[in-house]
Parts: sequence; structure tokens; C-alpha cells
Amino acid sequence: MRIARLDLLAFGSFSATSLEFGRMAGAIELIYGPNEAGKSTTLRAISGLLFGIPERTRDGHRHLPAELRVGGVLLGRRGDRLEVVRRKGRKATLRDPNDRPVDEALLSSLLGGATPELFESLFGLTHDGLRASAEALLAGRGNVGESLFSAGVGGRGVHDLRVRLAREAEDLFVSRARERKVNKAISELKEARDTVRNAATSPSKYLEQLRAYEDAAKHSAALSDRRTVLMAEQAQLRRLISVLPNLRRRADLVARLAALGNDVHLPPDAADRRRRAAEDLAEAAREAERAAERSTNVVRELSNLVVPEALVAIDDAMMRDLADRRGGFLRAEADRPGLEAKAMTIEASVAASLQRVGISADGAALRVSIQSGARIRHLANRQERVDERFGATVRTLAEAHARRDHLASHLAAQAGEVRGTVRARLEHAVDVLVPSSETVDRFAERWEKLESERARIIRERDRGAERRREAERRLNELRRMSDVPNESDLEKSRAERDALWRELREALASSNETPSAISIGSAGTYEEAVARADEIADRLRREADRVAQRAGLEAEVAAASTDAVRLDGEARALDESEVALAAAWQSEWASMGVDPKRPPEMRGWVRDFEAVVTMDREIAALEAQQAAVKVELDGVRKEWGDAVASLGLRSDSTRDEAFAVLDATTELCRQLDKAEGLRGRIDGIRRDSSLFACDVAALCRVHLPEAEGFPPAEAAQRLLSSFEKAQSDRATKGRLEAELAKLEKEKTHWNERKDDAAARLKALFVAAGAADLVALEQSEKRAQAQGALKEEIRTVEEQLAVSGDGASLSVLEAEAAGADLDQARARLRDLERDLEEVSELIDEAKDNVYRRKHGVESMEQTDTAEASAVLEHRVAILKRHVHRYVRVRLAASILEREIERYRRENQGPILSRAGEFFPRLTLGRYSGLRVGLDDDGDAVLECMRSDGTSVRVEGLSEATRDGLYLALRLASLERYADANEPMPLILDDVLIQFDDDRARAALEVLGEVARTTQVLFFTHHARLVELARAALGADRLSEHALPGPPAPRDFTETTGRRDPAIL
Amino acid sequence: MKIVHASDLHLDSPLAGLERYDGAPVEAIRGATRRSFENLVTLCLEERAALLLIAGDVYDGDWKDYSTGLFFSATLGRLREAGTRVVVVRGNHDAASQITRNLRLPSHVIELSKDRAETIRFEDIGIAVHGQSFRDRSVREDLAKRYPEPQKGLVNIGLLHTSLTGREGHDDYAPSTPAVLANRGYDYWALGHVHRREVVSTDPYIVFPGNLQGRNARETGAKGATIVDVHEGRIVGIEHRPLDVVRWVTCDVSVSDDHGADDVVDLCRGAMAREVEAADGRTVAARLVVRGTSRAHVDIAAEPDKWEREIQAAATDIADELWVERVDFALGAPVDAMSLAARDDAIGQVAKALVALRGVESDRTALQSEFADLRAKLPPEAREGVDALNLDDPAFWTSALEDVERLLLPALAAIGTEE
Repeated sequence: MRIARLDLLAFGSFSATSLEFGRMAGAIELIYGPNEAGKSTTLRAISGLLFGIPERTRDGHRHLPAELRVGGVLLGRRGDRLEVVRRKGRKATLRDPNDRPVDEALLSSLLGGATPELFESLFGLTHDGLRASAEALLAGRGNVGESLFSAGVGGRGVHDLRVRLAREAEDLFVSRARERKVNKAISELKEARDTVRNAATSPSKYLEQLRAYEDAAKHSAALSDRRTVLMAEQAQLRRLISVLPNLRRRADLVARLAALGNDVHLPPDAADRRRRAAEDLAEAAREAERAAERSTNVVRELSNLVVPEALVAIDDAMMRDLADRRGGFLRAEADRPGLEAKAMTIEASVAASLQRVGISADGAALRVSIQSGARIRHLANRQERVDERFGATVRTLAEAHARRDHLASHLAAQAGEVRGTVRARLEHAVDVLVPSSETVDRFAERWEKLESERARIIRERDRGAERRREAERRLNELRRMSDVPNESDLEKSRAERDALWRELREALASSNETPSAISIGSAGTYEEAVARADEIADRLRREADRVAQRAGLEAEVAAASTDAVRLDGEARALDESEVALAAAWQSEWASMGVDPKRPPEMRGWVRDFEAVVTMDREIAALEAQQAAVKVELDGVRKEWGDAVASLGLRSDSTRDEAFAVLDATTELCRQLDKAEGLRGRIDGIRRDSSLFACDVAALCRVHLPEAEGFPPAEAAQRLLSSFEKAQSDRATKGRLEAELAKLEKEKTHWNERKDDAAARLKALFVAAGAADLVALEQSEKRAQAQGALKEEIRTVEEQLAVSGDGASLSVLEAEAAGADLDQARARLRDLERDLEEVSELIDEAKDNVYRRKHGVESMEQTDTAEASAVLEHRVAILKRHVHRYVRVRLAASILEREIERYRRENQGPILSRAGEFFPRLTLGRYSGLRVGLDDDGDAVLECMRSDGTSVRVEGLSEATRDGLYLALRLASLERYADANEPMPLILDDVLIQFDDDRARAALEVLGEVARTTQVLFFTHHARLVELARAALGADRLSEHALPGPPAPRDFTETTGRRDPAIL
Repeated sequence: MKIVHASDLHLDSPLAGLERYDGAPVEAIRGATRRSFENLVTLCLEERAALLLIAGDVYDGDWKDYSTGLFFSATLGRLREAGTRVVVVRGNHDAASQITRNLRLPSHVIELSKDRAETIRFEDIGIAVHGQSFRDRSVREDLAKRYPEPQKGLVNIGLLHTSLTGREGHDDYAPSTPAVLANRGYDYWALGHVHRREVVSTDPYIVFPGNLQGRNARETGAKGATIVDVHEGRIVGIEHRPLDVVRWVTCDVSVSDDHGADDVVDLCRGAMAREVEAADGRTVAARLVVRGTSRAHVDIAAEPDKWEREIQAAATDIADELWVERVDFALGAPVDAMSLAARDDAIGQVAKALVALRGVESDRTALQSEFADLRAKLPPEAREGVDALNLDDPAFWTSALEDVERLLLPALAAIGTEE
């Protein structure tokens, strides 16, 4: 297939650009485009045309992705021609020139089924690709098969692929290795299999184990039964051995008890009781006797004691009172003389004082005057307060009068022009009618309005006059400039003209004369009039502005005159209003007789006048107050006069005088009271003394006649002493009587105790059947012996009950009958030995049972399931690795086989053709290629020098290796083209690293290749273009220049992913 | 009244093909067959089933661990209290098993004779069960033909382990036909042996309930038992109940040219998530089959293990109880071996060679001989089961060579474009 034309219809920065190839048959198509000229775009366009434009493209920046189009004409070897357009999209992207879908198969057959990757591998070559492939030759050490195969598939990856497959296969499996994946998986699988086998429980083993367990359990149970039997016998023997001695002892005790004869029925403590009763008897007799003796003594003492009953019967309180009164009596009698002397002294002193003052009054009168003292003091205070108030009233009134008079005189002075009546009226200002402040304000306001109205009229009049003067001035100016006609001038002139015309017509109508005859003159005048009127009219029209101005000004003057007249009228009316207002104002003041000034001035006057009126009212109130206080004062003075008269003073006595008399009288009264008090006490003492003497005498008469006749105090003392003694005796008597009663009770008690003890002794005798104490004591001893034996029998029986395991005495005796203790002991020893043996056997058996049971249980729960899961896991691993191994190994083997086959089939032709290219590409340094053998016997490439020596790939320089690969590659392509649809060889700056000579040589070789295969040679470098021209000449080189750098790219669509570009 | 019909318990049979990897739910699959059997017993208790019928293959034939039998016996013991009777026939596996020969079953469990067909009458519930156990692993005659006459006035049930007219993947044992069974005059044929559930007929009912728990990638979908509803001496309906604890699924994932390897992982993730959702909380063992042509192919073909691990990791992300059993990459590159083979160049030669190896008839002797060492070493476990490594089977090689085409041709085609 050849590309005859490439149409960059809308692709990258290209629009409707075509590259025509194949104009010269067998020429190299050299496509030159400096950087950015679109070389790479063109390469992608070829790929797009042949294989479709990728979904994500970087060439959709100028044209919308959906609009991308690349077309071309493709020629097959057999002359078939395909003209197609590729658009971007998912389906049916291949179209014919008329945009009808084209079957991809048509194109595919031209491409020999190549994929984009394959196409790129086989028919594209870049400089980098060349280098890498040359290095791969080195890596494969020039192995002929691999080298040829690599050149055949156009790739440097063959070596890598071979190595990779071989290595992976080797990692997976090597027959006799251990650590390979498959080998390892096999051995692990076997291990797992063994684990499963070992973990499984086989039925026979399980059942065997189960039977063994059951046997062991049975054996263990039998041993347990045996032990039970042995233990029962052991228990019986032990019992026998422990009860036998006690049974014998009991029998002995019972025999001894019987020997003691009948039972004595004495209580166990009979001896004690006997001893205690005898002692009690003796003690009771002793104590009873002692009580009788003491009783006799007390009776004797009582008979010696006599108590005066009457005296003792006197109330205790009364006797204490008597003692107190006796003390008081003695003290009062001692005080009385002193008191009498004191009273007499005071009485004498008072009498003297009264005499000295000159008051003849007695005590009672004195006391009365003292009672009025308080009233006198009260009155004195009250009179003082009223006096003060009266004085204050008088002062206030005087001040008020002074202020009023001052204001009244000021008012009068102010109203200088006021007639005399004013002053008189002021004397009684209260009754006078003066206009109120409000009235004054009202008038003031009306006056103000009037005044402001007047000011306004004056202002307007001034302004009107000013306007008129101004209008007249301007009017005069107008008139001065020229006599401006006005409408009336026109009227006037027209009237003149019309009049003349009328005259003229009438004249013409009325006469038959020829007009000329009538009046040449009239006509002339009329003409003049017409001319004048026209003149005025013209001027009116011409000077319409000035006319209007004049008319305006005239109107203004007229208006100003009218205003002046109106304002004069208003001023007059205002004057009249003022006169009327003044009259009304006067009349307001008529009653006062005042000729008032204007309201503002009168406003102060009215205020002062109102103040005088207020003050007059205040003064009247004050005067009334003063009169009232005066009345009160007079009343108080009258009372005072009356009060001091009671002291024997004059009614006009002063306060101090009255107070002095009062004080003296009061002191005298106090002295008199004291003396009276003393007299009272003396009388009391006297009364108490006589009463005391009487009472004492009366008492003595009844209770102590021998004290009668003694002074009261002595007699009272004796009475008190006798009373005390009698009381003491009476107490002693009571105590003795109580003691006597107690002794009597004791006597009775002891006698009863004596009887009781005797009865107890008697009872013991009866119980023992003893006649006396000696017999009783013997009986007691026998009873004691019997008790001890019975106790011992009981103890033995209790022991038997315990050691006999609760069996009754008769059962035990039956068991023991005929038993021998020694034999029993010997048997017991045997038994214990047997038991020990059996117990050991049981332990062993139980242990065995446990172990068997555990064995069974462990067999019931095995790890087999888990182990087999592990086995399955290992099987899965093995299968996976073998699965992969088989594939990798097959792939490696097939590849090896085919490489070898390719070598066999192609080695001759390709090596010989490459051997032609190689010397040219190395500028004659090498003469050809041949096949040698390496140390392993593999066929390897050898490069022959002109001198007959040869070098292997490892020994070549980099540039030479590049040349070697290029030679092999071009030879392979030619070989391919022999048998297949040839494809265009697309070279992308493949020679940039070549020096000029080698590049020229390479270009010549390529020129040769181009004879059979279309060669598209893309380059950025102008130098290569020159070299190509030199090397190939015009007839073997077809040049194509890509347009210069396009507009800057928009990179927004340039995503990171790599397009599968051709190169 | 309910009767529960189950078969093919294969107790303790391991789940096959599950290669353990980091994050694989190893615990979740442990004891799966036992747990599904426990589910069966629980189902009987919940449904107050009067009868449990087990149509053979309680054990794996080569399973030697007696504890499995003890477990079977002990678990059935739970039904004694509830009054559920159990009737069992031995299948081919049971006949081969050492366990059955020794196991003592509880008194309410009846194992039918292996010597002749017999009838068990359950007068109290109005049921007669007819059946016969396998005498040995390979019974080739039609046992059903000699099953007893139906019992009048009772619901008649035939319990039979059979391959019927033959079922794929199952050996032909006790073969019979639906017609033979229908002619017997029973109301219900409780069959076993075939692991896939199948209602062969509804008049009379002939039912394979399938196995209780899938055990490998071929036994996909819900597994369980069938509940038979008997009312007034008639069967009024059947209902299948899933009892499996691990569900096997196959996820088919289709990829197209534009998908990269990462996209393939995402597609697999989506497919697995849907299966997990559908499995109703069960553990899922998924096999992924990725088909189509894709540019992902070259990457994946070079390192399939790596991408399988990626998919396993994605599975671990989706759910704890999801196990990727295997990923089959049946991917192709957009390379056509046939058109390449038409070329007369190096790659065309390789393509021709591969095409020549296609088909089971092709001569692969030389290639296969390279694997003689491997064949000798492979243990028997690897040569059987799912994905058996049967090196004598031409299909094995055909499949391998298909993969080799996928591996080799795109690699060669892209060889000049590698970075």
C-alpha cells in the first residue's frame, strides 16, 4: 500500500492542506517542517486516517473534535485505489469522498490486518527506536534468530519478552528444584494431605476406644461395689470392738447396785439439809432471847419520861412569833426616848419660821397654798408665751404698712398726670376697677397689628413709587431714542387717510367732471396720507419690540398710579381704626380717672396697682390676728391675779415674787410632815409594848404560872425555854416506843424460825425412818453409794449409745454375745488392708475411665474439616501456579520455536541483503555479515572487516550497531515487501545523530529501498534536506514543506494520555 | 403437616478451590456443611415437621473421619424431643463410606434396608415411606421398579437416590425414568444424588431438592431443602428453603476496548457488590469471569496474579464475607490471530503456528512432551475437581493455547511501541 495523497482537511492546526506523494515513482518523500510546523500532527494524521482518530485527541484545538477530518488516497500493490475520509467518532468513521460509510475491511485488507501498534512497530522508525533496537541486539548478543526476528517484528522488545517468559516459567517450575512455586505447592499439598489423614477418626478405632471406655467404666463400678461391702463389715467390727468393754463394765455395775439392797429414798443433799436445820434451830433460840431482854430495858426508860402535853400542843409558829415579838419589844423600848426628842425639836423650828415670815396660817392653810403652786407656774409660762406672740404681731403689721405705703406713693408718683382722685382711690384700692392685665395685653396686641399694617402700607407705597419712577425713566429713554409710534398714532393716521379718501370719492361720485379736473391737489394729499399711514404701520411693524416695550412701560406706570391710590385709602382707614382704638383704651380707664399711656407703658402700672390691692388684704388679715392675741393676753393676766391672791399676794405681783413665796411655804410644809411622822412612830411603839405584855401574861397564866409576875421580856424568855424542853421530851418518847415495837416483831420472827427448823429435821427423820440423828446419818451414806452406781451405769450406757451407732442395748448385747475381742481386732486389721488395696484399684480405674473418655471425646471432635480446608487451599494454589506455568512455558516454547524457524527461513536472503547495506552504512569500514557460533553453540552475527577479521555485536561501536540494526531492518522490510502488500516506511528524524557522511550514505540506501517501498522521511532539520538533495538528486527526491509555525496552540485539550501516534 | 426433604449433605466435605489470601473470610466458611445441616434441623423444628427425609449422600464417600458421623447423629438427636421422625436412605457416597457401617443412629432415625425395598408406616401421621439404601457405591439397576405397592389411605412417599435419566456432572446410579416413578402410584418422590434443585414433575411430585451447601464453583446459587405441605391426606404444595451458609456465584464481567486494567477492577467490584447484596448476608464465594477485548489485556496478561490480588483487595473492601474464588481473565487484545497469520513475516509466522495448534485434533505432541516432568509430579488431588489439571485432556491444552495466543500475539504486536 502506498499513500498517494494525504488530506489534512481539518486536523490539528491544518485546514484543507494536502500532501501529494508519489509524483515521482521510487523517490523518497521528504517532508520537511521546522519545529512547530506540524510534523508530529502529520504523523498522527496518518495514524488517524488508517486506524481512526483516538477518543481523546490532542488535535482538536483549532477544529471542534467532532469536525476533525483527515482524508487520503491509498493505492494497493495491485493497483486498487481507495479514497477515504476519516472523521472522529465511534461508529462508521470511515467515509468515501461523498461522506458515505466505507467498510473498514477494504482498508484493513490494504493494511494486511495490521493493528496500530503493529503498524508502528513494523513500518515506523524514530531515532530513539533505532537506538533502543540496536541496544537490544547487544542484549541478545547478536543471536541470529533473535536479531532477525527482532528486525522482522520491528521491535527491540523480543529479547525482553523471551527473557521474561523464560524467567517466569523458571520461577514457577523446575523439575528437580524445591523452592519453585509449583514444586513448593506440591510438597505443601502432600503435607496437608497427611495432616488430613492423621486428623481423621476411623470408625473402628473410635468404636474400639468407646468399648475400652465402657469396659473401664464397668470395671471401676465393680470395684466400687466391692469396697462398699468391705466398708460395711469394717464398720460392724469397729463397733463391736468399741462396745464390748462397756457392755462388760455395765454388767458389773448392775451387780454391785443390787448388792446394796433396797433403795434409800433420801434426797441426795440430805446430809446438808440436816446440818442446816440443826444450825438454824440453835440460832433462832439465841436471837429470840436477846430481843426479850432489850424490850424490858425500853419499857423501863419510857416509864421515867413525863411530857407537858398542853405546852407541847402550842403551835410552833406562835412560839416563833413570840420570840420575834420579844426581840422587837426590846429594840422599840430602847428607841422611843430618842424619837420623842427629835419630834419636839422640829416642831419648835417650824413655829419659829412661821413667826419670822409672818404668816399666820396654820398647817392646813399652808398646804392649800402649795396646791395652787403648780397652777401659778403654768400661768406664768403661758403669760410669757402670749406676750411674745402679741409683740410679734405688732411688728409684722408695722412692716406691712411700711411696704404698702412705699408702693402706693410710687404709684401716685408714676401717675404724675393722674388726677388727684387717684391718690384718694388708692387709699381703698380694693374697690377700684382697673383694667386687667389681659385687657392691657389685648389692646397692646391690637396696636401692634395696627402698627405693622401701617409699616406694610408705607413699604408698599415706597416700592410702588420706586417702580413707577423706574418705568417713567425707561419710558423717557424710549421716547428720547425716537418717537416711537404707537397703535393710536396709526389709528390716527389711518383715520386721516380714510377721511381724505372719503372726501375724494364723494367728490368723484358727486360730479361728472373728469377726475383730473376735480383735484389734483386732493389726490396728492390723499397720497401723502396713505404714505404716512403706511409709514406708521411700517414703523409699527418694524419697531414692534420697542412699541411693545413702550406699551408695557406705560401700563406699568398706570398700574403704579392705581396702587398709590389704593394704598392711600388703606392708610386712611388705618388712621381711623387707631382713633377708635385710642378711644376704647381711654374708656377702659375712665373709672380710674386716669389718662392712660399706651398699653405697654400701662402694663407695669397695672402690675404695681394689683400688688397694692393684694397688700391691703394682707394688712387687714394681720390686724384681725393682733386683736385676737390681745384678748387672749388679757384673759391670762386676770387668771394670774386670782392665783397669786391665794398666796396672800397682790394680784399684780410678779412671777419672781410669787415663786419665792411658793418655795418657802413648801419647805415648811415638809418639816411639819416629818414631825408628824415621828409622833406616829412613838405612838405605835407604845401600843405594841402593852399588847406584848398582855399576851405574855396570858400565856404564862395557862402554861407557866411560876413565871407570872416577871417583866414581859423575862416571862417570855422562860416560856420559850419550857416549850423547847417539852418538845425534846416528846421526841424521845416517840423513838423509844418505836424501838419497843420493833423488838416485839423480832421476837416473833425468831420464834417462827425456830419452829421451821424443828419441822425440817422431823421430816428427815421420817424419810429415813430414823429415830435419831445417828440413824439418819447412816441412811444418808447408803443412799449416796446407790446414786453413784446408777450414775456410772448411765454414763456407760451413753457411751454404748455412741459407739454402738445408735443400736439398742439389746441388739448390741445380742451382737456381742459370744464375741471375742482379740479375734475381732485381727479381722479388722485384715479388712483394712483389703480396703486399701481396693481403693488404689479404684483410683487407677477412674483414671483409666477419664483417659478413655477424653480419648473418645477427642475423637468426636477432630480438626479434619479444617485440615481438609487447608488441603483444598493448597490444591487451589497448585492449580493456579500450574495453570500459569503451562501458559508461560508454552508461550516461551512456541516463541523460541518460531524464532528459530524464522531464522532458518530468512537467514540467507536477509543476511545477504543486510550484508550489502551494512558496508555502505559504515562507509566501507565493514565488508559484510556472516553467521558464527558462540561458546554455547548458538548462531550469532559476525561483522566482517575488509581485512578478513570479524567482530561480534558486543565489539561494535554504538554508531556501527545503529547501522547494523538499520541494515537488518531495511533488509527485513524488503523481504517483507517481496511477499506481502508493501507498506510505507515512515521515518521520523531517524538520522539526526548521524554525521553528514553517514547520513548521506544512509539516505542513498533509503533511496534504494524507496524503489520498492514508499519511504516517507520526516525531518525538522534543513541540513538533512540539503544532504538528501545532494545524495539523491532531484529525480529521486520529492520534497514537501509543511507550512510555517501555526498560530499558538490552545493546550486545553492536550491531556496527559499518550496518543498511539504512529511514531 | 410439614415434611422436610433434603439430600446430599456431604457433611464435612471441604469447599474446594478457595485459595486463601490476605483478607479472605477464612472463618466464615469454616464448617459450612455442618452449619447448613444445623440450619436444616432448625428448619424442621421451626416448621414442627413431622418427618425429615434424607435421600442419600450424608457423607463424602472417601471421608474417613468418624466424628462426622457422630456429629450427624448428635444433631439429629435434637429432633427426638420435638417428635420429628427421620428416614434416611444411603446414597452411593454413603455406601462407600466407612462411617455408615459403624454408626449407631438414634432411635427416631430409621435407615432403610440396603437389601430390599421396604415400607415404613407412620399411621399416626398418615404417611408411608418406601425406599431402599444403596448396597454399594455403584448401583446400576433401577431400584424404583422393585419399590412396594402404595399403601391405601396413607400418603405414599418414595425415597430414592438416583441419577434418574442422567444429569450432567453426576454419575449414572440407580437410573430410572419419571414414567417408571409415576407408575408406582406414590404421591411424592423424594430424590437425591443430583446437586442442582429440580422439580421433575408435580403430578406426582418428583423432586430433587439439590444439596444443602454448594461446595465448589460449579455448585452456584441458593442451596437448601424442600418443605412438603400435607393437608388431609394430600400434598398441597412444596416450597424450597435456602439453608446454605456460603453461596457460590459466578460474576460475568464484560469489558470493552476502552477499559484499562483499573477499569476492569472497578467493573469486577460492581459485579461482586451486586452478588453480595443478593446473598442476603451469607458469605459469598465468587468466581469472576472477565471477557472481552480490551487494551487492559497486555497489562493483565503479563501479570494476572497482580490484578487478581487487586480484585481480591476490592472484594475485601466490599464486604468481610466475600471470597474471590478465582478470576478468569478470558480477555483478548484487539489482535486477530487469523489475519495476522495471513502475513508473511515474523509475527505472521508466530500467528500461523498458534492457529495451527488450535483445535483438539492438532498436533501438540512436541509441546506436551515438555511437561512430562510436571505430569509425573502432579498429585492426584490436582488432577480432579473443578479446574482439574488433567494433562491428558486435549481440552486442557486447547484452553491453555487460547491463553497463549492472548499472551503472545499482543505482546509481539506491541513490541516496537514499548516505552
